[in-house]
Formats: sequence, C-alpha cells, structure tokens
Amino acid sequence: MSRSSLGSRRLTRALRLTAGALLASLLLVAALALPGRGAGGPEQLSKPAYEREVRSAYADVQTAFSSARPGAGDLGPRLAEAATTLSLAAASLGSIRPPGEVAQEHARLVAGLNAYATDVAALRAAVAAGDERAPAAFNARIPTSEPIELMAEAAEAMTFKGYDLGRIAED
Amino acid sequence: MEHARARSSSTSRFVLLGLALGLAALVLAAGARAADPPQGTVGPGNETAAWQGETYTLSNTDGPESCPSGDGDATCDHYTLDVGVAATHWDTHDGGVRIAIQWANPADDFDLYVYDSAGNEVGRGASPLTNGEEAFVPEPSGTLRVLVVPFLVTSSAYTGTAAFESEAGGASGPGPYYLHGEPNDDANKAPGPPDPTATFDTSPPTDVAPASQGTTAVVNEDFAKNFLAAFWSGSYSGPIDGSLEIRWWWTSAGAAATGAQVSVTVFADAPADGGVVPPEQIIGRKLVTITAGPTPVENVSIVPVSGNVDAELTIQAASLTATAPDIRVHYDTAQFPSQFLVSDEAPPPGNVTPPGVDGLASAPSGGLAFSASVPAEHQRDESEPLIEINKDGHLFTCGPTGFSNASDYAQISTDGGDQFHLLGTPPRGQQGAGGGGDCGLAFGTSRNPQGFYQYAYTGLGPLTGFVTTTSPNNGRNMVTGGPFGNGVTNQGGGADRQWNVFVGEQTVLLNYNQQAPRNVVVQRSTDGGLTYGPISSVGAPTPLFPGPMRYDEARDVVAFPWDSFENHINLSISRDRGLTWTACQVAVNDAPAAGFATADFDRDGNVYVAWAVEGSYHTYMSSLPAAKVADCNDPVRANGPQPTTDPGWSTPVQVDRDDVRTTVFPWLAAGGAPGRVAVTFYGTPTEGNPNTGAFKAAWDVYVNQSLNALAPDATFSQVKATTHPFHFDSICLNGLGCDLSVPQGDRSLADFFAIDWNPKLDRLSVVFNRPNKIPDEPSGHVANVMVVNQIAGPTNGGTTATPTRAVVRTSSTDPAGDALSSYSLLGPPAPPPPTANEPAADFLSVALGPELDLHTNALVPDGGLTATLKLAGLSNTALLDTTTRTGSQSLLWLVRFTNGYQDVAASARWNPVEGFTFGYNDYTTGSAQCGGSGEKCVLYPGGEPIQGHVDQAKGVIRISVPRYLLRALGPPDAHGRPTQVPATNGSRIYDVTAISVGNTLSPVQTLQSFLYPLDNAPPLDYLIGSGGAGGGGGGGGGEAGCKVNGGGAIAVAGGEGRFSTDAHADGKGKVDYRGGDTDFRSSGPVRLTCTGTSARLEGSGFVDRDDPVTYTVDVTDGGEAGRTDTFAIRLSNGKTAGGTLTRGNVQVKPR
Repeated sequence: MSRSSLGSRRLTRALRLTAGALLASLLLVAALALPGRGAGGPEQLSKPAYEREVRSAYADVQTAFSSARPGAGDLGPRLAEAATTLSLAAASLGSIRPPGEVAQEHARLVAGLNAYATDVAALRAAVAAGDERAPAAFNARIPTSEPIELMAEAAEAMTFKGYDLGRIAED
Repeated sequence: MEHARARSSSTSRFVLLGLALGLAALVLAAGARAADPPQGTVGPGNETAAWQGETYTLSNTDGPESCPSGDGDATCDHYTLDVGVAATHWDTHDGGVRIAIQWANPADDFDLYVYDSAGNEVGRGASPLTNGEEAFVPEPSGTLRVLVVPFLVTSSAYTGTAAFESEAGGASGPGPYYLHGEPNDDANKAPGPPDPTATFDTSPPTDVAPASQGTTAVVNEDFAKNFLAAFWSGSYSGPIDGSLEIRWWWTSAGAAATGAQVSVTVFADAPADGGVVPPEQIIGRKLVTITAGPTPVENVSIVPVSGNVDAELTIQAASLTATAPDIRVHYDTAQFPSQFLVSDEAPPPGNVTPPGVDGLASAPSGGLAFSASVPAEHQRDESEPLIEINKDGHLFTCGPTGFSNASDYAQISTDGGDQFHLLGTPPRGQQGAGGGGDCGLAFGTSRNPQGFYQYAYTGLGPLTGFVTTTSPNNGRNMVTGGPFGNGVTNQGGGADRQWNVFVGEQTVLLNYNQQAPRNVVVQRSTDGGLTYGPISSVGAPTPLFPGPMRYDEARDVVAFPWDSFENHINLSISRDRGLTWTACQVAVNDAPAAGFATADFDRDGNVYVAWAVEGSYHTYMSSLPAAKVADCNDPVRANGPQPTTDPGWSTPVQVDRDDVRTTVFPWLAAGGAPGRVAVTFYGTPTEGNPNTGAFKAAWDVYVNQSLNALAPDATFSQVKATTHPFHFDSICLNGLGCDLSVPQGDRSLADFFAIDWNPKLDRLSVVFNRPNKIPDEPSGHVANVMVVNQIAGPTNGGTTATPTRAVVRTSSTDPAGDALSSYSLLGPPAPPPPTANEPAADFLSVALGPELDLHTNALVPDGGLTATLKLAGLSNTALLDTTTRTGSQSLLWLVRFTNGYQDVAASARWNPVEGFTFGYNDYTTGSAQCGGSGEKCVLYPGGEPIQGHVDQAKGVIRISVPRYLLRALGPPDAHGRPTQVPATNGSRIYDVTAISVGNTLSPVQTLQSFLYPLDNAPPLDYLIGSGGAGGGGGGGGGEAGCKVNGGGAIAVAGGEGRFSTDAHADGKGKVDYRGGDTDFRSSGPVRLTCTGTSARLEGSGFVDRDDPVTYTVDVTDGGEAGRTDTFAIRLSNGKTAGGTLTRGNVQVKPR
C-alpha cells in the first residue's frame, strides 16, 4: 500500500463530519444499505459481486474526471458530467445491498461520493461564473477534502477485510 | 585535418597568404609598432579620442595570443585609453565607451580587442569582410588597453576612435538598496503612531545590532504596510519593469523552519498609514520559499515587478501559514545586510524560473556522474522501487505491481548493476504467492553457512499480512512462508508499509505501520525472515509513516525515521536489536512530508535524515553526530506522547540547489566516510503544485552529494543522474484525491524510489521508475524499473571514482557466461536450481553505427542505425538447447532504447520453423499478466518489418533501424519540456540496451506474456551517425582519453556565433563562445567525453563575465575540410546555439 493512499487521511484523528449535507447523506445511505431493510429490498450481494459493482461505478467516475481538464474543451459541461457521474455512482451503489461485513464502510463510501458530487457541482458553478482560479483552489483543498477522506477511509477499511475494490482502494 | 586558422574562409585569401609568406623574407617590418598617439582619455567633457594606427604589410596574425605585449611589439598595435570616471558614475548613468577601428579595403582584416586593467577581455570586434570593427565596453572606469591585431592584411593602416557615452538615468538606479531600521521596527509598524521606521536606501548598513521584523499569517495581501507583515518603504521614482532580487536573512524561533511560504508584495506609492490599495498600486507579488534557522539564514528571492513609482516603494513580506514558526527578517548590519536590487531582466516565462535564484547554489560536483539507465526489469510494472546492496556488492531491486495483482517482483545484479536476473521461478518470477502492496528487502550482516548473506523479502498483501521469503544463496533458492506467511495483525488491525533490516546473520527485524491502533510495531525473525514472532515492541507512536530501518552494526544501533500528523520529522532508535525503542525530534515542518523520511548511518555511526516538504516541495537534510545518538531517548509507547527532545540535530539544510524548484520522494544513502551522503530526488525547475494535471514539467532523477554533511553549513553538489527526463507533468501525492482532481493528477510513480551505496564497489546506485509518459498525457504507463550506477566522481566511501566507459558511446562489451537460465527457483531450499549459461542468448558485445543496407552492405545516406550483436553461439544446436532449457517457443534479441519520449525496440526473433525474422515496435503495453491489452506490462511485438541479418557461424546478429523511425528530443517548450522532433545526424537516443529473452507462450511475437529473461548488455546513449558503419562489430566503450581543439563560426540568428575550444581528457582546457546576445567563457576544469569523432565538453563558466552558468558543448569532427564539423552549445541559462561550421574547423583526436 503506498504512502499517499493513507497519507491523504490527514484528518484521521480529527475527522470533522459536521457538514449537514454530508451527515444527512451518510445517515440516509446507511439506512438504505444496512441489512434488515425489509422484504422488498434488493438481494444482498456476494463479495465478488460487490467488488464488481464498486469497480464498475468508480471506473465511470474515473472516466468522467479524465475528461474534466482545462484545454479538453469547455470545462463547465465536463465538470457537470463529472458531478453527475459521481451522483449516479452514489445512486447506483446506494441501491445495492452490500455484504453485511462491509455495510458501514459501504455507507461511508456512498456518502463520500454524494458529498463530492456536491463539491464538484459547486466548482462547475464557479467556473461557469468565470472564476478561472476555481479549479486551482479546488485542487488545493483536495488533501483535506472530507468527502475524499471518507471514500478513502471506507475503501481502505474494506481492503482490510479482504475486499479487492481496484483503483479506488489502491491509490 | 588541417588545423586551419580560425577565420580563413576565402580561397583567394589563402592564395594571397601563400604569396605573402613566400615573400616574407623580402618584407621589412614597419619598425616598432605604436598607435599615434599611444594613449588617450575619454570621460565627461572629453567625449572622444582618436589615434592613427600603424601600417601593416603582408601581415597574418592568428589572434591576440600571438601579440607580444607592450612596447616594441612589431606584430600588433597597442593603444591605452583612460576612462575618466569612477565606477560609481554608472550607478546614476547608463552608457559606456565605444571603440572603433576603420580601414580602407574590406579584403584586409584587422581585429579589435579591449582589456581592462586586470587583463580581462571586456570587448571584441573580429568579423571578416568588413572595413571596420567596433567594441562597446559597458560602464568602464580606469584604464583600458586596446589591442589591434592585423589578422590578414596585405597593406593597410587603420584609424581608431573612442567615444564616451553617458546618459543620466531618468529613474532611480538598480541599487543595491539596503534595508534599514530600528530595534523597535516591529512595534513601530503597529497601527497608530509612532510611524513605521523600517526603510531602505543605497547606504550600506553600519549598525552593530540587527533590526528585525516578524510576520504572522496575513488575511489580506493587498493591505499595504500591514502590521502583521514585515515591510520597508523608501524613496524611489520611475518605471520598474523587471524584477526585484532580494537577498535577506531569516530566522525562526525554536526549531528550524524549512520551506516556509512567504508572500512578497511590492507596492507603489502606498498611503502613509497603509491600507488596502487598488490593484494598480500592487506592482509585484510572488510566493517565495524561505529557509530559516535558529541563526539567520541567507535567502535569495526574485519577485517580478512591473509598474510606475512616483515617490515611494514598499516591499512587504507576509507569512501565509498560521502554523509557521515565528519567522523574522534580520537586517541593517554588516553581518546581515538584507538588500535588494532592481533588475530590468524580464520575469521568467510561465512558471519556469531561471537558475540560481530563489535557491541555493550547488557545490562543485567533482565529476560525479552516472551511467545510462539499465532496465532492472523491462516488462513489469513496479512502482515504488526499492534498492538494497549487500556486502558482496550485489544489487537487489524490488517493487509492487499492486495487491490486486498479488505481485511483487525482484531482481539481482551480481556485476555491479550492468545486468539483472529475475528472482523467483522464471518466466513470471514471483518470490511468493501474494504481496503486491509493498516490498521490503534486507540481507544478513555476516555470511551464512553457505557463504552468502541471507536474503529476506516481505510483500504486503491487502493490508492483512505479508508474504515472506528467504534465500540462503543470493536468490537462487527461495523459500516462502506463503501469502500470509506472517499473520502479523495479532495486535490491533491492519498492516501497512513495512521495512526489514537484519541485525545478525539470520535475525531480521520487520516493522510496519499498524493501523488500529496506529503505531509502528516491530517483529523479529530468527530464521532469516521466513517466519516472524509476535509483535515484540512499538517503535513509534501514532506516526504518519515510518521510513526504512538501518542498522549500525559497529555500535549495535537500529534506527528509522518517521513523520507525524503534526508534520514533525522524528527518529526512533533501538539499542537492543528491536526489543525496545526510544525517539527524538529531528525537525518541525510547515506541511506534510512529500514522500518518506529516510535515514542512514555512516561508518562512524553519525546519522543523517532527509525528507521533502509539501507546499514548498524542497528537500532537506539534518545530521546527528554519533556521540549524540544515545541522547535520542524520549520514551516510546503505543499511542504515547510524541518525542520532543532534540539531542543536537543540525539545522536542516536545503538539499536541492540551483534551478531545481520542485522535489519529491527524497532518499538518502550514507554508509561510508563521515560527512559523505548522497540524496536522490525527483526534481524539476518548474515551480508549483505537482499534485494536479495542471502542473507542466520535465522531471529528472537528481543525486545531490555532500562531502561535509556534518558541518553546520553543509554543502551539496547537484547532478542529473538521468540523461533525459524520465517523466513529465504531475507527480501526485494525494492518493485517491489524484483521481478526483481537476485535471487529474498522476499517481503512476506512487510514493518513492531509492538510492543505496555499494560497500564493495564504493559506488552509488539509484533505482527509479520510468513510466514512459508523453507530455500532456494524464498519466504514466508502465512503471518499469530502471537503475543508474555511479561511474565517476566522489564516492561515499571517501575515494574518487574514475570512469571506465563514457555514457555516450558506440559499443558495449558484456562478459561471457552470464546468460543464465533457471537462475532462481521458488521452492524447497535444495538442491540448487539447474542454472545454465545459454550461449545463444549470451551477449559478448553490442555495437551501433550508421545504418547499412543489409542486403548490399552499403551505407545508407542519411540513414538510421545498425546494431551489431555478438553472441557466444548461434548454432541451431545452441538455439534449440536454449528453447528447451527455458521452455521457450521462440527466442528474442531486443535492442531497446528511448526514442524521443518513449521506449521502443528493434528485435531479432527466432523459432525452429521460421528461423530468424526482424521487427520494430513503438512503445507497446499489455495487461498485468503481460498479455492482451492494458497498462501493466511492456511487450515487444515487433510488428513493423525492418532489415536484419544473422551470421550463425560467427554468432552475429545485425539489425537496421531506418531513420524515419528514429526520433529525438528537441528544444524545450514553454514549460521546459523537450519537444520531440525527427532524428537527424547527431541526435541522441538514450539507454540503448541489448536484451535476450525467450517467449514461452508462442513461436510468434503477436502472442507474448512474461518473457524469460536471460542476458543484457550494459546500456549506452548513442549519437546517430557516430561509430563505424553498421556498428563495426567492435566492442569496447567510449574513448577514455582524447583532446579537442579548434575554432570557427556557426550561423545564428542575425549573424554568426564564434567559438574556440581547446580541451583535454585531464580536465584542462577552455571553451569560449560569442554569438547573438551570448558572451560565454568557461572557467575551471572541462569534463571531456569523446566517442569516435564526436566529443562532449561539460563544465561551468560565466556569461557576460559574471553570471555563472554550466554548459554542455557537443562537437563533431567531420573531416579534413572542416565544413561538416559541427558545434553546439547549451547553457544552463537556457541559451542554445548550434550547427554546422560556416568557417574554421574542429579536431577530435585520440590522446
């Protein structure tokens, strides 16, 4: 495991999940994802099936971000697409029922995706308003981004439990 | 080749000269030469002077060196010119003295040289085919000596004039302006009276005690005369369009501040009582990096400025980080004369800054140099490569492919780093099932019963445990404990970043970053690293990450550095071989470390630690004398307090120098003589945040060496260990955040690379990743493992290495008997594997030369290259034996090289049905299993047919690569990244390495997986067109000794560039070049490397007499006439020039 995958967890000892939206999202997704949701809920996924779901959802996110770069066309629409992809990934993962042993980590992962979608949407709005410095400021905040911290923590915790989630857990 | 005089370009001139020389005996010299009058004066009120020069008949004088000095010189004419102003005149005036000579007939040729009173040449006019020469001497004072050389004169006199040109400056001068103030400057800048008392003017300080000002975090940088910042105001008027060069001294309270970020703002005519000013009054701003220590440390900062100042200029320095230590500027004494200069030099383009500013100058390198890069592993992805060298001088490298692939790979070199064998059963070569997250390597401290140093490996699985492997015989037999051979998490949960070190013949320590609770924990193995006991101790409490462990065998001390969540760098030590630990604080930083902190002992037990800091992205080193190591004794307990004791670490010294602005992943190696350390890092002159895809840069591997690392003012040399950039643009340290940046950052280099000192050979070796990224691509590709080895210069052991072969050359020899099949087997400890030499794969030599048509053996005009590979045997029997012993269906001989940006290969292939075929491919990658598509493995399909020829009886393979396939690195773009251009004669291709492998999967190369590695030859860089045609079939390396001399001109924009050179292999010599706006002269030793008729000269010198630069000059000797000779010069200030000679010639001769 490389240094930075954990090094980004600089808030580990003082993670402050006070943002209302983030917390609400976390609780909502946790409520949806935890076992005992009801007879009408989705089937609980096996470990391999769950790994595939996460890998697939994150691959879409990666693809969206790979095109969200200045110089690759109009940045605003590409950021909108990235935000949408994050939201879709969160919705997609939020609709599945993970193995019980990673239910809590799964909830945190989905919450992180949702919250980060909000951050990217805000960036998109700033860019649309002509703030050329917004991407640099956005990037400067990444080392202390709570949504990313949440996703990285969740992915790493699932790795501890033997889950191979691919890129999202590697670095 | 005739060593023609530098400037004779006309045939008629030669005829004339011949006649002249023939009649020389009949010609009477015109008596004692003297200008008339011989002396004159210019200055204010006496603007011109003139003289009549001597008449010369049939004169032919090479240059000023041929002129006897002073009176009685019958060869040249002398004139003395007194300039009647003091040097200070030019503080307030612009101008100089213009000296000119003129004569009637352009067929005659006088040259003009001007020297100052110290004998330095300060002006020159020496052009052909004119009837006049002119030299302008800027801002002179005192006496000038004018020398007129009758270069080629049939019969002519000349007239001389001197004109004094001086114009009062319309604005304030360039300075220096010294910062002044009172002891209570800090208090006086507070709101309300008394008024601020910090000022500047041109008077040098005379106070005894320095004034000082501190700065704390400033919210609004646009607030002029901000009492939270440090600022100075002074009289100034006029436009400023250039930069301020500020030299100032900084301290920090308590621990040293390394890499503090300070925003410098320059205000024009700020209100007396300060406040937020409109944008037009902010004429300059830059974020600079400051190094501050307990005692004042001098820093140089360059701030671009542009605007007009009516009456007052204000310079303000504001710390931007609230966590920065109390940093202060000291000024107004002779000891700390903080000051600034106003320069009209344009700010550097983009974010590339010029050399020597905002940084520290490097110490002389003493010729420290490294080989071309050899792939320790040319297929696999092994980001985060580690190198460790055992007492026999064998190099071991390893790296993980990711635990998704459950794969670490490792290699060994038993010949000092020229060739690497894969460890584990080939062709895949794993050391055990599992791993892939991180790898650790270590060796026994004494020989085992089999006579070797025991080898131990650990590979991190998916954060739940480690695969373990041990080998008693340099990796030939490898025994593994299985994928979870070490079920480590018997206390708490989660395991991460592990390191190993032996503290005995079979006793190994393993430390790793336990996640919950977060501590560095330590385990011991007494069976050479096969199994480990329960956690025996806690080595560090609540770390961010531990660095590698090191063992001082003589004093029985184990140590490892680590960084904390508070951004402290600490060191833990154990004096009972890992049973208990204590710790101390090394340094306090403003920001997290940019990579691991690493440490090492020298042979006397002194400890050195290196680390880099995010934000500033500079690298630092601190040392602790052996006598104080025992004082590193704060108690360590699980999740206990952080260490606070500093037992005497030196003030951190910035390691990166000169034009390097951004560094990541430093790694330190000592091991030898006291005070000698080497620190490697990835570095670039580009400044900024490397974490995002917006960062545009060319990266090299640097090795900075200190020969006095124990001194408080330790110095570092700085050399590039790579001969071409190994990576471009972002290197992202933000983990998952790299993927989610806009644009995405590049994680392909992971988090470290490494350097180690070879105690047997007394050389340094560096392992690094080369991901073959093209500029502007979002990410690197396959992180191949490359190694460079020290070939020259000061060694960590205290000696000086003498190069045995040049980096740029045309051939390599390779020992016989080193193409080993079954080198390593993973399995039971005995018997040893059936290792055999494979003659069909055993390179004896590799030679490159101009391209031959291999059908006709004719030289191809403007061709590419032909590689000639000499093997021990290519008989059908030898070929079949190798396929049988390796289980291969086909064999390949690759000529792999970096072709512009990326690695390519020309290959010869053989299978029993088709015999030999030949192909070329650009960079091609495959999956983690080395097949199909993906970005985890390099493949060699060789799909483009090229010419080849095999003489099986002689064991010779020849492969020709046409010119159209070859590329070169061209002039840099705006971000300092080389462009890629079509190759021409003299273009350089890099890291040329011949590699022999077997394909166990298929007889054809459209199907490949892990190739069976057998042999490789030492790498070289090659200049297209050099060497004997077809490579000549020879062996040997570059020429060890040679000399270069000559001179002439090349065409440059707006005229010509003139040069002269005389350099020898012993380092004596010089290079001078003048052309365009460049006036360069070398100083000090010249490092000369010759390859055939080409040569490279490297060293340092000055531009415009006092601007220090380094230079690289490449010359080729094209033949007798000199008209195909080439000369190219590249200066570290970015200036370049080159081309075929328009006049003169160059000789490259063996010694």
